[in-house]
Amino acid sequence: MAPSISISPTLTVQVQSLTDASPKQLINIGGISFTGTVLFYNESFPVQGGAPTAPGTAIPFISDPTNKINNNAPIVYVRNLDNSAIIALTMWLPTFAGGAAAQPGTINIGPGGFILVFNPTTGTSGATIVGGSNAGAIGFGASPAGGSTANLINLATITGNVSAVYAEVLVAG
Amino acid sequence: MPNISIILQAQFVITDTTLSPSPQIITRQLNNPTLAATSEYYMPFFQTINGTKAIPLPAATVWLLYVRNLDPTNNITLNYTPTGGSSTSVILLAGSSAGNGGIFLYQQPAESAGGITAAGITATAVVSCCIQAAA
Repeated sequence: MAPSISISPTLTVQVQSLTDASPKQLINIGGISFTGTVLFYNESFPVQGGAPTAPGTAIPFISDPTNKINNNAPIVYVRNLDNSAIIALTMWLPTFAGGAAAQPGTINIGPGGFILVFNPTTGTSGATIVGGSNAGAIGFGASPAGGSTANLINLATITGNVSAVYAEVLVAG
Repeated sequence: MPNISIILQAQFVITDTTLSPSPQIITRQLNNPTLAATSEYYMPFFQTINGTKAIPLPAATVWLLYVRNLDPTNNITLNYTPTGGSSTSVILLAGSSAGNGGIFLYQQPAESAGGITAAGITATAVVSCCIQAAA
């Protein structure tokens, strides 16, 4: 499929000294870009379905069994929009063939916090991923074994009222 | 008491390339999320090894971790341990040119929830990556 989207974030990190108030720019990531074919973006994605005290509990994320986002997503961005609740993001992270099978990794995201994984390409030649074909991508839409439509990126709340917690979500591939 | 303020200035621009001229269908300004921190580790050219090399985190738990693969040839694997969790990993691809590889960025605006307690880079050669961690 021909590319249909281009994602170009500009990212600059400034470190300011609070003791002398003279800011200095340490990192300028600049104009990294990714050209892909599919995109899921929800600026206010409802986090639902998980027990409030069960981090990592799966919730329906992309239920389309045809895997519109492909089996892998080189780009995943999740930001907690709540001002008090914590959400937990679980990502299935594929490994290279011959290595250990993909395992889910869960990380808590506090109020206002976010995680961004951004790979500029969908893969490299000669590399094979368990459960997918794209090196560096994050498994999505199918199990690591490739035979299931299990949701591999899950959001679950661990505190707060699940019906009132929202996250900004961007997934592209 | 915080000594430094780490400010991320970021914006996503997503363009529909099926049309000409291509419209910007999503423009998202992240509104400068900021972490008030006391300690920081910044290594603009962290040298990996053929194997796994630990990232010297500046505190037991860091609330900001940024890693970017700077190599144009070799992929690297970031291994990180979330607070209360087990070690997991993500591959950061080599870029099409030096300095343009994959990015991992985890940032919390407050030191209250989440966090990362350990991190390391696995590679098959000595390559450069940029690392920042703060708490």
